[in-house]
Amino acid sequence: MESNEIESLRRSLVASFRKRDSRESSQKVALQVINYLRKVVLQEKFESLHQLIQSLHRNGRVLSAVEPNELIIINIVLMVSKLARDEAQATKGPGSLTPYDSLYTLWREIGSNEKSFNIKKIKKDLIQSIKEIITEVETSRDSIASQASELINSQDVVLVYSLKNSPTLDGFLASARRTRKYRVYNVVKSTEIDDSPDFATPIQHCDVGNKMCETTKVVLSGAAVFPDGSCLVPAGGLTIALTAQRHSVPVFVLAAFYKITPFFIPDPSALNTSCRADIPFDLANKLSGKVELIQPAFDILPSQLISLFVSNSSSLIPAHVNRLKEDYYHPQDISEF
Amino acid sequence: MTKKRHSEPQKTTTTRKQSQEDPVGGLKLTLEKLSDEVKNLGLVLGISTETQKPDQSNAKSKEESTSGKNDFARPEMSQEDKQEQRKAKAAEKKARAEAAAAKKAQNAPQVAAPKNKKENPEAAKSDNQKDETPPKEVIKTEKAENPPTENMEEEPKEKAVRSVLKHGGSGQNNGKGVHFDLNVLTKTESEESLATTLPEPPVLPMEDASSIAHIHPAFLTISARCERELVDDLEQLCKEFIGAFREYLQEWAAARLREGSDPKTVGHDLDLAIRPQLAHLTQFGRWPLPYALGNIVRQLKKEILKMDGSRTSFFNGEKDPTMAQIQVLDEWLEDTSRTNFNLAYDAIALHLNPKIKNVHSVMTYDWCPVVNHVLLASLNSYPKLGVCIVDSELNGRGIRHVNSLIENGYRCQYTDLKSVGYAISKSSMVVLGCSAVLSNGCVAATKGALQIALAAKAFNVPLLVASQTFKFVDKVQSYARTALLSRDAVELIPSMLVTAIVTDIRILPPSAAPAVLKAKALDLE
Amino acid sequence: MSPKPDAAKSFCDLLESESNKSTGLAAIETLHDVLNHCNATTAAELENNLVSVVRAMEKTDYSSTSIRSATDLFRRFISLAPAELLDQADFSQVLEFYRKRGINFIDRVSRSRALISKYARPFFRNNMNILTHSYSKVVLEAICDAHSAGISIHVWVTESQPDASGRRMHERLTSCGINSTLVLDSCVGYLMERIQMVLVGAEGVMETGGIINKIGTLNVAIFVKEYPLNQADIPQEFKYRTSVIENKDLALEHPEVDYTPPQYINLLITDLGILPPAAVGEELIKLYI
Repeated sequence: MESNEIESLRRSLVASFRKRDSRESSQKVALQVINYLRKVVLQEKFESLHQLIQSLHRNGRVLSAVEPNELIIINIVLMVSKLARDEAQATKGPGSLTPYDSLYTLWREIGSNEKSFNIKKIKKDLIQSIKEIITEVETSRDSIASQASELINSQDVVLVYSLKNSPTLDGFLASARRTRKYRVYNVVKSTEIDDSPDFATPIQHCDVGNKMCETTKVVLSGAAVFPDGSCLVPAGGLTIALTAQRHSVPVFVLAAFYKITPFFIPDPSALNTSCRADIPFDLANKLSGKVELIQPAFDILPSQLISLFVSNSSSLIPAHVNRLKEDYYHPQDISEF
Repeated sequence: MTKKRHSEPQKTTTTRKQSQEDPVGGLKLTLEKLSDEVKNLGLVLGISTETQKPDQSNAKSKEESTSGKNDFARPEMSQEDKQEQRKAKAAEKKARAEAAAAKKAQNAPQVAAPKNKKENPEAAKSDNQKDETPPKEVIKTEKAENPPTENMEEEPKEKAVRSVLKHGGSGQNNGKGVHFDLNVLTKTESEESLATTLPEPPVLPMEDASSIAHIHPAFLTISARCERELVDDLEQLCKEFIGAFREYLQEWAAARLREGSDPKTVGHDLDLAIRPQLAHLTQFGRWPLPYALGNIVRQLKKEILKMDGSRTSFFNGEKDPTMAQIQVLDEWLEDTSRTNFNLAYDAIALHLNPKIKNVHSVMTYDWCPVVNHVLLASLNSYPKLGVCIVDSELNGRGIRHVNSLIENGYRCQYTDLKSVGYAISKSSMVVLGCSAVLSNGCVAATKGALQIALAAKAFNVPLLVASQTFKFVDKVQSYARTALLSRDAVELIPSMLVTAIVTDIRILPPSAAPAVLKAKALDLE
Repeated sequence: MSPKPDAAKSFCDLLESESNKSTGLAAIETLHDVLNHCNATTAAELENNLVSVVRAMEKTDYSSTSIRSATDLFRRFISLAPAELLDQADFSQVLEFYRKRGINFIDRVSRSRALISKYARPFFRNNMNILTHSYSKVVLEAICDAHSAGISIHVWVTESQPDASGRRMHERLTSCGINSTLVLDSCVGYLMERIQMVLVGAEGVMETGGIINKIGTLNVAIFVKEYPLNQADIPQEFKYRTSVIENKDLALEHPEVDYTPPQYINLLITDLGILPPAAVGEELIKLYI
């Protein structure tokens, strides 16, 4: 059923996930997955829409089993699946009941006649749509950055976190810097104080409490966004957001569209990985076996701490994330996956 | 030896070039004296002054270390040793003052930049400074004339002093392992202090050697140790202060007995005498004393003023009224030291015990000896208790907790401030140490504690603060201030984030702070 | 002309015979029955018939909220006919169409509980303490399904006076073999710190995203806010309401239900999927457009 080529493609993708020692940017991951899926659609033969979607889901499951903490993989797979369904819907022609005419026509769709689809045409259109998504992924960073000038004023004092790891955040600040002058506080570890870029004043995490009274805005980069408006940010973001809430400072989270996850995660601590701990060898030697080092990768920000999500298509408040998710995902996929 | 010492400087002074102003000449003289002292001390200690630089810097550090560590054992030292140390301190201060003056002559931003300077740029800068400022030039010419050994002594001494100052290198000054590379962290036991590398302390005002000559070396030591960040926490500072004061008291008493003054004015005179000492400690009000220490000083002053000759009957067996009063004061000091530290720790642990009984896991932040004592006591009673230690950054001051727990055979968890959002959900109680409790119920704690408090509130975890009653202070402040004589600032945790304060009297809500003040007569009159 | 007393009677009979059936479902089945036996010749007449039946049912003791919203949805659903069909002179064809749709609807709705259980399953974790209020068949089914899947949970049920419906819940739970404790309504605050999740049913969901449920639900929800944890509600899909509840005169009678505003609710688990309260408005719009 699956050609060897697809096998080898998948193997190389899995290998690339396993090989890297530090996580590259989310954008790269998204592009890798979507390119892989494009090749799958291109090369495999499908008899029906159902088969196409099954194949996509199967690939998605394999990839996410390899990297269970990369929610982007599932997101991209479901996005492509929705595109496929949309294309199928479009071929059915207008006039028939669209899926959201009434809630109950959802289950009516399953029974409908699929053989009437022209699978080749769907495939062609799907590839086209995938290409559009690729463009969207590539330009997401710039679109987010372009909203910076509306969100950051002159005389603003902006506090950022994990600037080093997020090119999106960097681009956001750079774009605002072009048109106006403002101050930036960058929260870093003490070892990285020298690496901080020139426009930002480095401060330590323990200083955030004192500096928050001068700060006017907090900008964090998001790792994943959930439909109830909560999100994952790099560890350390929660205490910063709580301090910001105390001082009534708005918190903005930058998240491209492929980070919006259609699932509610019931147990967020289950998907929190651990990172490497940076301690010297002799200390590690002394502590080994007796001391457990806790180093989670992410923090979960509840929706009430977040003022705004800045995404590539628009900025939205946490309550509206659910609506945006429907632009990208099909409910049938969500319930089936 | 004394004779030899006095003769040498005289000899060398006569060979000096005459055309210098007085202050500069005075400076040179003192430096001369110092270098001779150092040589002698080196001879005393058995280290030859003819060896290369490393040993001399070692000698320097050894000297500093012995003078620094033995402050409690010092009353037995002879007069000349005391003078030596005094001169050493003076020279130290002078070197620092010169460095400060030179820095002032240079760009201001350079000083204020929050970067850790490495040893080489430091040495390079010191070289630059020597070129630029006139006093340095004088030294240079002076050096050019002096025999090479003295020359070498000056530079490494200055370099050593400055680099030790700036780096806060841990442990080496205690003579554990003396390395040439002053940046290496030596293995220390948990009792040793582990000062973190911090940004440079602010600039010192320029002082003449003469202005600090009258300051008792005990206080000079404290001041120097604080600046070099050898004093880790408030408790240690308070203990050292009390120890230093007792020493001072002995000497002052001895001096007074010789003079044979009126017993009635003991209190008054002592009060006057102590003022410049304290002023030096606070750098003339530039860096106010930490709250808790201010409390101690205030109470001390009250006790001193009570010494007006009316209480001699209290002390049996001591005929001389002056001595009697001094002894009363000394006893009071010893008593304070005991109750506020050792006994108080036990009392706090006792009060906390029933509350910790049903707790599954405790979290604490940064180093505090009170919390350490409490944790060990609780683990003793309830070995299944889980402990999570949070540090502002990995391998910071909190490691002392970890070390002490490991040594006692307990397991624990260790994490840094950014992981608190995850770790707090696994904890059922947070226990913090503090440096003061203000009268509005706010708790002054280490920087970063506010974030722990906010996380605890968000996850509905009770926050307890362990504090002896002497840390309750009758002041209200809304901003943070310096904690340990020019070291880190503190953060203020508002009272609504604190569930309760565990003191040596009992467990209290934070709003009960004024009641404690009244009960312990700590309030300002 | 319409068999009013019969309809109401058959409605009550239905509910009494099968205690597991939800009120809304019974109402729909009654309406469908009426539809089957009706011989109206115009749409308006049919509408009148149905409305009068609904009014009769509302007079019974069962939850009027569920009845009203369920019947609303039923009437809407069956009348979603393509335009050309409605133009026909022969109303019997339309009626036929309505009947078929009615069967579909009932079919779908009876599966909704299973769907809700399926969505709710991931939220149950081992050794959880769950608080629930009063008697809700949906919650019961969700919890029993989770239990039979092997998850061990402990359920705390509030008594929910005045009719002690919590007691019934407690009995049903223990008969399914689930650890359950019956507690007073007033000790919810005391219990709250050891609870990880609060799960309640809903008689109706308002447009704002708030829910209507047995009196006392609002108290529970406010406590949840104070001790941050998870409150999920499990309404069934057809319980959405499009109007705000009228105020009864509280001086004379004890209210039976109360309204919990959306800010106290984390998630709504419905057969449409898991929704945050803010999404309810959008779903309603989709329903009725």
